[in-house]
Amino acid sequence: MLELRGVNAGYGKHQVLFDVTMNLKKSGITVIIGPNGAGKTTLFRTIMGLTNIYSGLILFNDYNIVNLKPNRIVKLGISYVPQRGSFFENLTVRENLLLGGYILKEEERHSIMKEVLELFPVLARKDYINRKASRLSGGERKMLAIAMGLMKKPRLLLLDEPTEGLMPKLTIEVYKKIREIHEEMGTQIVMTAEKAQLSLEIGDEAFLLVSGQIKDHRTTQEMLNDPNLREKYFGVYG
Amino acid sequence: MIPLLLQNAIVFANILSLMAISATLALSKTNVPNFAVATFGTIGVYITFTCVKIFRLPLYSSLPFCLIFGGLIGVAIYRLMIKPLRERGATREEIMIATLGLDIFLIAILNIYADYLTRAFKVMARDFTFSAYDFSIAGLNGVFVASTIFFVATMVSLHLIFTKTSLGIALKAMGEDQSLAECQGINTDILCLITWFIVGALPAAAGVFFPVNWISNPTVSLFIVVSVFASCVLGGFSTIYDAAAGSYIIAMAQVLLIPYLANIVGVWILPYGFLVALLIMILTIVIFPKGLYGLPWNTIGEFLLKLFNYVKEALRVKA
Repeated sequence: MLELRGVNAGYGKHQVLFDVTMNLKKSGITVIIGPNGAGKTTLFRTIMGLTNIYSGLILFNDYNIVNLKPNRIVKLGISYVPQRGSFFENLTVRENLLLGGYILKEEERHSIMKEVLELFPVLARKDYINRKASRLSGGERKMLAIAMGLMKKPRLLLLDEPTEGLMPKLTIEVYKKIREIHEEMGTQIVMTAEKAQLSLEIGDEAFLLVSGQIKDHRTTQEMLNDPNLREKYFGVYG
Repeated sequence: MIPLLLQNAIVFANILSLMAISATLALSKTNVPNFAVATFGTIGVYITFTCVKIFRLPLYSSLPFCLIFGGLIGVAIYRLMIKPLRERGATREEIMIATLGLDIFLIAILNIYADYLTRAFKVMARDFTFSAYDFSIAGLNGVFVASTIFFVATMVSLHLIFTKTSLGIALKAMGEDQSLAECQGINTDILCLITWFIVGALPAAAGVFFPVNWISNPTVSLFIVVSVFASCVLGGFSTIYDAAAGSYIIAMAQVLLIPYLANIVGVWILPYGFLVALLIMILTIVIFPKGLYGLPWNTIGEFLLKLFNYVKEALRVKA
């Protein structure tokens, strides 16, 4: 579904990704783990056309998406939920959701919103749906960001640190929701995680990104059972 | 019957509002501080001059031409100047300096055009007014009626666009975070073009009304620009409503206060009307830099309600 071949990318003259090659298969949840500053966010931003790509190919369903504008990439079926600033604070929850489905037709947008709100019932509550997004709590903000990502009916959903800054209980809830989305909607999901233990538990395959280079690629189970990785990257849950 | 001075103040307020809304949209939606906004108005003045003096059209029939040509000039400026500068990594400050340069360039072009009109058509294309072309209805000046109707129609249209359409929501989103908006599938380039069409069209439309009450020439924008930016700063450079409110306050202060002061201190003060706008702008920046938009309106409302109840109770006790 998504393939990166020898991608070198960064911001201006500052290179962050070095010869990244990865092939994300057409099913399951893929987890990209790595320490802080490894280039996980840059990897997603590169896929979305938000960085400078110096060389390499990014193929989505065999179509080269290098140099496409983000709005074109979204229309091809890739939805990106950034780590921070993933929704519009001055808009209401409803407006944010409708914007999430901006590429859809009017009627389809409303029917998808209904489906998405079934997954996130808290956002559907009358006192929430017309509330300014800036007034949501941490967990609700993450739910809104993911819901906005799903509003596009994506074939591939990129989630950048979907549990960053959340309490452990909320983290588990969000991961359960991600698994539920994958199983119910069939959306392929790629997510990054700094504290990797829980994300690997719900994922199927994983890549280890260190200093802008892919250092390892295995099933999540194999990574979970690797004592070296446990020590280095699995953080507080390890 | 509305006094003539008040009518003039409202006409000036309508003109300032159209320009301040343009400058506010340029900054809040596309992140461009547009210092050429008042000269966009002068372009409207000369489109009107051409329609009235050269093509012999009725004064207010030039309004659609101003909207269309002004809008197209706005689009051209975005495509030929703002977008290429952005693609080269220009900062907001650099783009602001570029709009100052654009202002000087446009004033030069308008001067050349005024000279051309004078020589080719033997008409006085400098220091003219269109007061003789105006009509009156029920004791009201035509420019007062026309500018107020146009201002109200503009506010209602923009309000409906921003609140009831997905285009309006997308524009709000773009103003908040352009790259996030792109990641929602929004084509921000098209939205910038639409915004710049409005940014060019509104001041040009204001240019239809200006020469009816005030003497116009290619450099008239230099005298209005202070009032326009004072209105924007007072409004808070945030929403069209605050820009309009700021414009009305500045216009009333400038047009009504100065003649009042002239009665007290002498007529020498009349040419310094723009100093009132400048003073309000300085006070706004010093005292409440976020302007009207940033004021705690809920707290102010609660305070006023308490004050009202207190006064009511005091009067009741006294009675």
